[in-house]
Amino acid sequence: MKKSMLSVKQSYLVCFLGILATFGVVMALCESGIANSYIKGIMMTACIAIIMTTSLNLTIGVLGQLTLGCCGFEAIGAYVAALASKYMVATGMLADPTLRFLVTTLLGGVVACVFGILIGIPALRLHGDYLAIITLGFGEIIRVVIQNLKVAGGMGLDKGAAGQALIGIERTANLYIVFWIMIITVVVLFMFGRSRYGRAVKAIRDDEIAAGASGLNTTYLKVLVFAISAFFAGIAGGIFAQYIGSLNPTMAGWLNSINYVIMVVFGGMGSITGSIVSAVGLTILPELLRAFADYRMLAYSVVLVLVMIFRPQGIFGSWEFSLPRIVNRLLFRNPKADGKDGDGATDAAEPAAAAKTAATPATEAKEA
Amino acid sequence: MFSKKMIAAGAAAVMAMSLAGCSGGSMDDSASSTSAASGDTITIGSVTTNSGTAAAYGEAEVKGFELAVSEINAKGGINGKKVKLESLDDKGDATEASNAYNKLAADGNVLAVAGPTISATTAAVAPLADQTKLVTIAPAATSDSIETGNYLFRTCFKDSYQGEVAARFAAENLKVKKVAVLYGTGDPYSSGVGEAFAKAAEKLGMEVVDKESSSSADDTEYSAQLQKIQASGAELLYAPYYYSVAGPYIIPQARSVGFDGYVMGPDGYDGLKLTGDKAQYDKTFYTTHYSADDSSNTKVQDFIKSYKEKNNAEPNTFAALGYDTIYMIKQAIEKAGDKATREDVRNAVAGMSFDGVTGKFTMDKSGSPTKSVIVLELKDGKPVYNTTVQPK
Repeated sequence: MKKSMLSVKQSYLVCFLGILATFGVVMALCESGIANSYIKGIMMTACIAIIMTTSLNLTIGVLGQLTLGCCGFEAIGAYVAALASKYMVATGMLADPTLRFLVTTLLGGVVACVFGILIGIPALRLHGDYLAIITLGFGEIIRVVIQNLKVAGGMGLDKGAAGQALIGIERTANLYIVFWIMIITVVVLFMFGRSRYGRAVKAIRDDEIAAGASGLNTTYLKVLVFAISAFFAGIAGGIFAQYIGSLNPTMAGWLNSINYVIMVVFGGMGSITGSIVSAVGLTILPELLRAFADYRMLAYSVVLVLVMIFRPQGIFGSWEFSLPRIVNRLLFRNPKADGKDGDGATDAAEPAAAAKTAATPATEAKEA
Repeated sequence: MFSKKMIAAGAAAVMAMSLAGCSGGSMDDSASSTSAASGDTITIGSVTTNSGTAAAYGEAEVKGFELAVSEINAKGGINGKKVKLESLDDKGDATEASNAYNKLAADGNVLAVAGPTISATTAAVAPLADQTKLVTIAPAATSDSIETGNYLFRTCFKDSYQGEVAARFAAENLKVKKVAVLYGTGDPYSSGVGEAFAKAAEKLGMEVVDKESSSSADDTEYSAQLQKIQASGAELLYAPYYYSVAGPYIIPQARSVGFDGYVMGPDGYDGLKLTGDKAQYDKTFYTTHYSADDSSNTKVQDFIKSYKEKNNAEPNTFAALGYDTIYMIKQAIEKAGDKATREDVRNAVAGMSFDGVTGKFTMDKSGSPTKSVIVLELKDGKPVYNTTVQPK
């Protein structure tokens, strides 16, 4: 098989170029002023939604466990990042806003991750509906606790008032940086799914008893997935806090979590491409439908219902978009390989596929 | 291989950091806030909650906006220019509200914004208003915490002000000496109003004999707290809760533990849900923004008449506040003049005096009006106009 495909390194390069091109489009739009604050706001919201859905996709799609508490972790990340940022501003630590944004966001992710482990250990003894209910319960607990914390309301910290919205958070989120955080999230999550761990997790999804009998530490892996998912949800929360500038405890509620679950199911459980497309699509759709004014939420619901009727597996099922695969097809026309790719099955043996994450943001560029 | 990946990641991180220097990625650009009054129409934007749980409030506000805009246009517009209302929905969600607001702010023709509806969305919009220098008047967001003292204003009075006025009414009109407070600690509205009432009551020389709380504002069982209040000898119970809780639970439970003093509440009592014997709701008072029987204000009847003609329904408080909001914007733009910029309009709203359907007021430094408050009394289960408490 000489020169019939891109090598692994070449695939990485192709993917990286794909990301750069996407970023170039985003940057061109912003720098030229075509994207006003409204468009930029939507792009920002879409980036946050992508981080949330891809991380949730890991739990729902890859691990196969339904959780309804993702916004609880997002809220933890958001409040931790917001309060850390307020503390730093008050004490003059880390004067550089970009650095402060990165540090506080990371801190939000880490704290959310710790909570993910703490909640995951008892919760993941349950499956299916039971797990959904217990995570829903934890989300509500987080909401009520935040609501009654004096430091997490009003102006925050020592000037706080329980039960109020947290306001006056420095709005340091920068679209370019958030874009790269989003890319890193997607790449890490994709690589995790392709790694030894990822395959082990998929084995648990398909048959937990068989996976356990083959010697996999199922509890450890499940908690690991839960923790990673919580970490990225916390990151998304940290970005959200420093983009919106005010936080409300209701963000931890189950209604918001269900919104993200919808995005994952809509795009196709287990497909990162699907998560990204539906996160971007379902963020933009309500904005596009503004023209319908009063009927917009109706139209939104109709779209959801239609997709679920005609594509119950979600738009993409478990299919992944791959830029190297496309390049392969264009450059090295090989009828056999074509036939193999044509059925759309994800093929682990294909080296190029290992790095195809890169191409996924390209879909976002089209929509943005 | 691994080290190369690390280098690549490092390079990407450095690049990301350096990119922060570029202006395009910043979310803080103050858009094109140049002169907006050019052209022959004036655009007023609105962001309200027209879907979701608070939809009833937002829709009433929009009806108020529309009525005011059509009246203004029928009378020749503002400074001879027609007014156009661009109304957007935020679903009661902070992200949607900021998206909608950004859409309006990016449109150079929008001179002022009416909305948002609830305090959560208003808190999200407040920093955007300051950043885009676009005057924003929230008709009915009463939370104390949303104030910025800059580009965000409101038409309604704020929670703490309402508690203070209620205390004054209790001291001066009801002439009670001993009061008790019951509120939900987890709810900003309930706790905010309750605390403000207790503070003002002590200042006015009344004795706060008991202060009880529930963990949330939508509990259904208050007998334990109410028994203590009854035992404390209070003549008046101040219970800042929403209509859905105060009506069916707090008041009947208070009467059933033998409390026969006054019960007072805030504007959350609007549309109080009643159960059982209507006589148990006697001696109940609440403060609110607007009353259809307000005899001290001549504008009210005109408003009700034109609202009925247009919508074929009785206006409520939110419609009245929305209606006033548009007239406030009109007054500000007229004052700012023909070539008004967004900044000019803001300066005209700051400190303005206004006389509308929901009372007379002046804007204070923090952007909240100091205004007259309507007190309603329940008689045979129906709210009846009692008095108007004027600001001090």
